[in-house]
Order: sequence, then structure tokens, then C-alpha cells
Amino acid sequence: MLGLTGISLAAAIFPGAYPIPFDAVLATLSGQETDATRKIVILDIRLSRICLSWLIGSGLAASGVVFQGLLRNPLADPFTLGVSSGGAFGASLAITLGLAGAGSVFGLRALPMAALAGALAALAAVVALGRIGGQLRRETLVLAGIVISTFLSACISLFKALNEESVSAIVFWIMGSLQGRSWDHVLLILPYYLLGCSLMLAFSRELDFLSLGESQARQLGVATTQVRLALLGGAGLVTAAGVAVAGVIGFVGLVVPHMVRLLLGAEHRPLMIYSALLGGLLLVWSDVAARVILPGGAELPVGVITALLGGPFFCFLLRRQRAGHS
Amino acid sequence: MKSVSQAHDAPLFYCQGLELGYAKQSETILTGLDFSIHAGEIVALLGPNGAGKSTLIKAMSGVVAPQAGQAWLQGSSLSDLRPREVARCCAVVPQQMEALFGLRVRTLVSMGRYSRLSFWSGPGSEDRQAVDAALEATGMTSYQERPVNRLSGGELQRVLLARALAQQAPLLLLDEPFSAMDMAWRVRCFDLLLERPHSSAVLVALHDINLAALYCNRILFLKERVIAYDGPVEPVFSEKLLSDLYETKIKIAPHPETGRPQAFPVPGARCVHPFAGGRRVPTPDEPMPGTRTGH
Amino acid sequence: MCLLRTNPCPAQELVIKDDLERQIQLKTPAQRIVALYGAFNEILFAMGVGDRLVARTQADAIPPEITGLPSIGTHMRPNVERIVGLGPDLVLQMGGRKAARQSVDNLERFGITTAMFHVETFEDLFSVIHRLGILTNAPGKAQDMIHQMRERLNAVRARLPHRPGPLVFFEVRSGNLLTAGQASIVTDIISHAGGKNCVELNDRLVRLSEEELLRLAPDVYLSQRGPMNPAPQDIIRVSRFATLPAVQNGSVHIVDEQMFSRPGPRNVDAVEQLAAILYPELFPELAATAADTE
Repeated sequence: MLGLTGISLAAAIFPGAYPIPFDAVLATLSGQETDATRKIVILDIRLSRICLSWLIGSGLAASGVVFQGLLRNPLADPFTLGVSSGGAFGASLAITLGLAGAGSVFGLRALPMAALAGALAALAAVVALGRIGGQLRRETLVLAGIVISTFLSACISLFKALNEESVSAIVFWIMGSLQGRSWDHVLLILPYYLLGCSLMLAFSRELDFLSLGESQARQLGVATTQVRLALLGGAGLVTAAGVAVAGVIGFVGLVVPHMVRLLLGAEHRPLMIYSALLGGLLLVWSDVAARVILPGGAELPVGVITALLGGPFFCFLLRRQRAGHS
Repeated sequence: MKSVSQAHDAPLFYCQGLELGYAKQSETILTGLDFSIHAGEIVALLGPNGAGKSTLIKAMSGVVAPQAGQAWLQGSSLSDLRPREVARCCAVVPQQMEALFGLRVRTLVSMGRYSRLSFWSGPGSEDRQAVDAALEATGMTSYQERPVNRLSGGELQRVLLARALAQQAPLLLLDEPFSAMDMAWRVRCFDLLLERPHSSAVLVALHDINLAALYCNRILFLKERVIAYDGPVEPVFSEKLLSDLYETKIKIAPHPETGRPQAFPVPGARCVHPFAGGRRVPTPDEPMPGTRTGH
Repeated sequence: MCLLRTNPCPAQELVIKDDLERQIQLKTPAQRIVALYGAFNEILFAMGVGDRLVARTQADAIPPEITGLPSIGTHMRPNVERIVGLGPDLVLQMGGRKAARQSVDNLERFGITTAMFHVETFEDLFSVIHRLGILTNAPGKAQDMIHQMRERLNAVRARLPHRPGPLVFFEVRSGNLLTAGQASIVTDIISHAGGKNCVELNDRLVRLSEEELLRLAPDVYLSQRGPMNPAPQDIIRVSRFATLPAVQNGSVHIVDEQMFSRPGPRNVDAVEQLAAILYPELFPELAATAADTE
């Protein structure tokens, strides 16, 4: 799996709209290419997109494992608790107020910062609502997620209605894309990604327990509330970071954990590690497809590709599972 | 905090004025609970459906906080203990488990060792031995790589028992642990409980009063929100008392092998026969004192 | 695009075919008109029948006379109740997006005559003006207007050199880079101004990869500023575009969205302005005003 990841990351650098011969790619990577545009295309555009798509894909898949185990719901995904709505809300607000291109923090525009703030705020609100009564119960969490999501979606619709000109910008943003992203975006999400992934990995063993339910986890010695909070924080951070720079990319966080569970079994630590690897791979190649599949250098939103791949596969999984039970 | 000084006599579990319900304001399920469990005891927890047997077990393992009163585990107040510390003192076999994601049998049994691992370390050889022994004892060794959602109900209950055994806690709380097992495994699992070290104790919630008579040396009977009976087994096995407790006619005879008392319900003893024109079906020694009649 | 004059009818018969290929017939010249797209206001005022407008959309402010009219919602989501309340005899809508079509269907359900137009080129625009002339019974004024616009376009063309013009890239929106394809009026504006839209895809709007932009290597980079693109990116400062010919020539310009990518009479202004950007030496008198708008 690691080998496949390595090979893929290397191979994904070759396809693209700007024609660069095979040996020129190698020359660029070894620092011998002299053509400035080729260097920009390889090192600045393609490489940064590959890294970013791998980070986001792996983060979404790992978060998917956490959310499914935590909420004990195989249909949960990183967006179940409203992180995506929060990000979309932040982004829409920035677009509506015309701030999308304004400002620059670490060389970045305001849009990803607003989306990140929105996603984190939504997560915090869901956790705060879910903690009413002291414990972090999954039913309350899911309900809080639905409430926050619905409310924020309504706000987004309001923005769209108030400002017709921004509709397409909001819609395009929500669809999820890695077009035009750069190393700045990689640097923006890297701290959140690393912190979030360490939290998720540190408590991945406890996910096995949480997936059995509150009582059993407690009876076996798990401090459930603290562990839930840590896992939720970790998965939320990673998801929020992904949403902030790429918009909403669906199905990776839902389907990849199921695929890996089918191959490896349900133990959460290996499940999380392999899901991250597979999720990264999936998004890298989906993004390659998004940028080369249409003729004439037009791009598809990568969210469309993952949905096209993920939808049918998920139907297959559901059918298979039902067949397995009967 | 009350702790009993004499180590030999110290109860594993002890509670005083315990009042249980699911939320602070909601209706009380059990009230005025005062009892203790000592090493070497095998206590049967009996009572009709909804009497609060599962709630009591959850409270004893720290999952349900009491509405009033206090409980102690090995001398420490339950409310002061962290989940990890509770799990080192008492292991629980839950009534049922929803095997959502199909963890492997061995993974599930290994979970019993969690409270003994530190945050950073993985399981050591001692942990592996405990898991192996528990799997062996419950006959699940050859199933250990199988996902739990492919097991039958009885097999799953054996896995849950194995997990509790691997936990090596002095107090074992079992909530109708063998209900889905066939008769042979039910007996074998009870035999396992008898083999446990003398320093440990067992509380087992049961519906089968005869199994309680065969294996337990004490009965705790819950009824109408209180402990209706707490004491040795033999006095319970009077036909009048049991008939009163269960509100149906019960006859008693000794077990042919061990001589322990066994209870037998009598068919049609209480119900109004649908084809008898509203008359009760007559039974040999009617009327029964203390038994409620048809209307 | 063409007139429907099949049956012998009196000269004042008010019949056209709109761009949904539907026959639109009025019994009397339109007297109470609601335009759901700003450009119609400009056209009707230029033809001298602007006083027949009875409403405007929320965003419309050109020409200034219409700001006094009641607003009936937006281009994509007009308020049908208000329109019906105004009792118009003709509603004009500019098409392209499905939602606009839906608004037309809603109005027709109330028996309001609605004409739908679609503009990709100057010829389409002239055809719209011509048909509006028929519906308002001002065909002569329409012809004059078309004639004037053609004259101005021809005047620009006459001064252009006889060689292939520079490759032009038009940024509709930055961020997720969106550009104008061949089906956009922008492409016709560029070619009338002596340039060539470097994007050859046939759509109106194209999401383009940045690599493709580098491959297309445009000589001139235009960003529109307006509601679609409130903050055009300053590509001169973006390192990955450093090798772009447009950046190296310093040929990066910001233009007005209303003028360039909304079909309407001001597209002729756009042609003149762009010609001055592309050929400053050939249009010295226009080059000064073009520079002002940047």
C-alpha cells in the first residue's frame, strides 16, 4: 500500500494540460530543466496539487473512520456533524461581503480563512450543544449536527437570495475543487492536519470500544467523554482544514472506510491507517481525472469525480452487505 | 468515605441507601438499596422483567450515577473512581451487544485488557496469555479470527464472557449472560464461574431460578423497586414464597443428582382458559393462599 | 433570429419569433414593458421608447431615468406577483440559464406575453434590437440604432492591421478560474477589437486549469471587475504566472464586467476600449480613455 502510494504520487505528476515530455518531467524533478514555465507547471502547480489532494483525501478518509465509529453509524461521514456547512457558510459570507479576494494572511486570500473559521465554529457549536447534560452522547451530537447544518444551509440560501451575482461563486465553491491551489494552501492546512491526525491516531484504539456503545466502553475502562472529545476534535480539525481549501469533496470519507473494512476487518487502528492511505490515493487520482478528463484544458470539480466514483460503489457495498446478512 | 478496615472481611462491593434512575429528575427504578458482596460469593440477581437488574449492574460498574446514596468498590467510593480504575475492579458481561462493525473475536476479548494497559504501551505477553486462556476456557480459540457479527447469539455470549474473564477483575457482573446458549454451554460457563479464585465474587442476573439454585450461594431478588429478598438459596425454595414472588403457581422438587431444590411452574395455573367459559381451569390443590386470582 | 413574415399581413402586424422559437404576437404596440435584464432598458431608451418601461430589476440603474421605477425582484428570480400587478403587455427576458426560462413559464401561466432572447454575438444583439423595434412599433428607430452600432464597429475594423491579432484571455472570475468561451459575447467583442480569444471551447463559461492557461500563453490578460468578480486577481504578483507572455509584456488589464460580459449596446464601447488596449498606437484618442477605466 505504501509502495502503491509512492508510485502513484510520482506517476500523478505526468498527466496535465500543459504538454511536457516524460524526460523533461524527470529533468525538472532532478533540477536540470531550464524552461521556466515547465518548472512552474511541475513544481508549483502539479506537485502542490498532488500533495494537497493527498492530504485532503487521507484526512477525509481517516475522519470518516472516526465519525463512523464515534457515531456508531456506518452512514456517517466527515460532514455529518455540519463541518462542511460551517465551511460553506464561512466561504459564502466572505463571497457575499466581497471579501473573497481581499486581505492576505501568509499570502492567502480571505476565502480559505473564512471557510476554516466557519468550519471550526460549526464544530465547536455542535460539540457545545452535544455536551448539554455533561456527557457527549452520540444521539445529541447527531441532532446538534443536523440543527447546525440546517440552520447554516438556510443562511447560505439567504446569502444566495440576497445577492444573485454571488450564487455561481458559492455553488462552485461548495462543489469542491483543487483548481488554482498552491503550496500556500498546503502550508495553511498542514498544522491542522498534523495535529488532527495525531489525535485521531492516538485514540484510534479507543474507537473499537466506542463502537460498542457508551456502557461497554465505560465498563472496559475508557474515559468516554474525554476520548470522544479528542477524537471529535482531531477529525473535525482535519475535515475543517480540507473544507477550507478545497470546498466539499464528498464520498471519500464515506466510501473509503467501507472499502478498507471489507478488505481488512473492522479494527479501527489499521482501518484508519489504511483508509488514510487509500483516501489519499483516491483523491490524487480523482484530481488527475478532474484536470485531464475534459478536452481543451477545462476542469471538472473534483467533488463531481469522487461522487461519480463513490455513488455506484456505495450502492454495490449496500447490496453486498444486505446479501451478507440474509 | 467509609472503608472497612479488616482486609479479610472487606466487601468487594458495598452500597448504602442507593437510589437508581436514569436521569436526575426521572422516575426512580430502584430505591433504598443496602447490600454488600464479599469474596467467594456467587450471587444470583433475580426478579421479573423490568425490575431493574440491568440498571443495578450499570450502577455497580459506574455507568449509571445514583440519584441518591453511595457505593464503594474495594473500599473506594465509586464516584471517585475513573473508568479505568473501575474496570480493574469489576468486569461486566452485558445482556446484549450490537456487533455493528464486525470486530474480530480476538480483538473483542483483548479489549478486556484495556484497563491494564498504559496509554503508550501495547499488550504484553501477560495480556496475550490472559486472552489465550479466556478464549480456551470458553471454547472460542478456533473462532478467534472470525468477525463477531458472523457469530450466533450463544457464541457471541461466550466471547463476551471470555472478555470479562480476560479482564481478571475480582468482581464479575453478568447480565443474563447465558440466555442464548444451549444447555451444555450454559452449564459449562457456570462451571467456569465456580472455578474462579476465592478472592473474587460473581453477581449474575438470571431468569432461570433453577440455575441459581444449582450454582449460587445467595439470592438477591428485586421486585417493585426494592430488594424483596436477600439471603441464602434454600429458604427461597418454598412453594408459597416462590408462587407469591412470581405470581404463578410453582412446585418444588429436589434435583435428582445434587439434591438442590428446583422449581417447576404449573401449566395453566393462573390464566383464564379461553375455552372454559371464563372459569379457571381447576388445579389439584386449589385454592392457593396468597395467590391473586383471576379478577 | 429571423423575422416571421410568412403570411401577407399589414405592415404594422406585431409578430416576431423569440429565441425559444416561439411566435410572439401583440395586438397593439407594447406600451407597458417590463425588462428582466438591464440591457433591454438601454436598448429601449436608445430607441426613444424608454418611457414605456414600467419597472426595473433591483440591480438596474442604467440609464438613470429608470431608478424611479418600481423594482420587481431580480433577473433570475423576478417577483411574479409584482409583475402581474403592474399589468404589463410585454415582458422581456434574456436567456441562457434554465432558471430564467422558468421565470418565463411562471409569467406565461398568468397570460403575460413574454419574449425570451439569447445573445452570443453582435449579430444576435442586432437581431434583438430589430425585433424590439417591431414589438414597440419603432422599426425605424431600431434600424438607426443598429446602423450606428455597425458604423462604430466598422470604424474600429477599418483601422485594424491586416495581420492576426494578439491572443487574449478573459478572466470571468478568479479563485476557481473561470473564463469566457466561444459562446460568450466576449469572444465577439475581442475579435471585433482585433484580437483572438485564446480559449477555443464552445461553452459560454469555462472552468480552466491553470496549466491550460500557461499552455495557451495569451499575449493579453483581461480581468473583469464587477459582481461576478469583485476582486480580480493581481496575476502580476502570482509567481506561477510569471512566464505568461501577458505578464512579461505588462499587458494585464482590468475591464468593466457590465460593459464586456453583459450583452447590450455598451458592448460597442467595450470593442473600442479593447481596441485601444490592444493597439494603443492606432487608437491614440481612445487609448487615453481606456487607461482611465483600469
